[in-house]
Amino acid sequence: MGDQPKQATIMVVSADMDRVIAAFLIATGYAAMGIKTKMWFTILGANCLKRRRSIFHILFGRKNQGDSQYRRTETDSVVQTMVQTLNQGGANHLPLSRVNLFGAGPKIFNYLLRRKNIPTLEDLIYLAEELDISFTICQVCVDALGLDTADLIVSKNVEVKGVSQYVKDSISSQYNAVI
Amino acid sequence: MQKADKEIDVCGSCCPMPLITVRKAVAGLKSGQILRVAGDDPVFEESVRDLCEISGYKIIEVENIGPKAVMMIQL
Repeated sequence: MGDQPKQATIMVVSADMDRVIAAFLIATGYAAMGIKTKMWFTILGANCLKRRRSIFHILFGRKNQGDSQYRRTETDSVVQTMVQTLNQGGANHLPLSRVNLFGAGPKIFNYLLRRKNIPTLEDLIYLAEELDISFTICQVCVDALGLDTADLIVSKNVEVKGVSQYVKDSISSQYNAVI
Repeated sequence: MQKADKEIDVCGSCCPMPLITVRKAVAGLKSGQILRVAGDDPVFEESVRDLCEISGYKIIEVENIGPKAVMMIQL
């Protein structure tokens, strides 16, 4: 193992704030220790990277400029837009898996984190970007959920790939987590 | 205590911020130079020791002042 370059792969499948915070804490920790880290986002896991937009922007704004080669636009339907309005995303607006309190839980959680001077999820994502962690988004999520890769809070090292790339990444990693 | 080429203070920040700050500071230094880090996180000393072990840096001196630890690292 010594001569092989060390690498870590972390797959985010959950949209709960506590789980995504854990994933980003591990990722930034690995990157800070000098290990090449790759993060993967599937289906609802990509919610943490979305820029928070209002319902009006989703309904009437300009749609999907950046990633037309990964989408089959002829099969888009109005249900897709309806799902998008319900599935808004935004790193500091994600729900908690416990004590969500109808949306007040994340605000209390963020208050606690700020009081202890621990980075919140959005700060962790910006830190991860600074530490050259690559963000790879599953193509299914871009196509089926209508994710716009030009409208994410990260812009560096963002890619859209399929499962074969994940197999290659995870097989050459010493650490692989699905959170 | 030897003279440090760079000094950073991470007092008041929590895990994993000290590690990230140290990693960024190390990126601007050459091999053989000395970095002085001060921190007061409860796991600060352990985490910097682990970082040095993995990256092959040498810890020259550790000074504990109350909850605060001051570490000298040679790259």
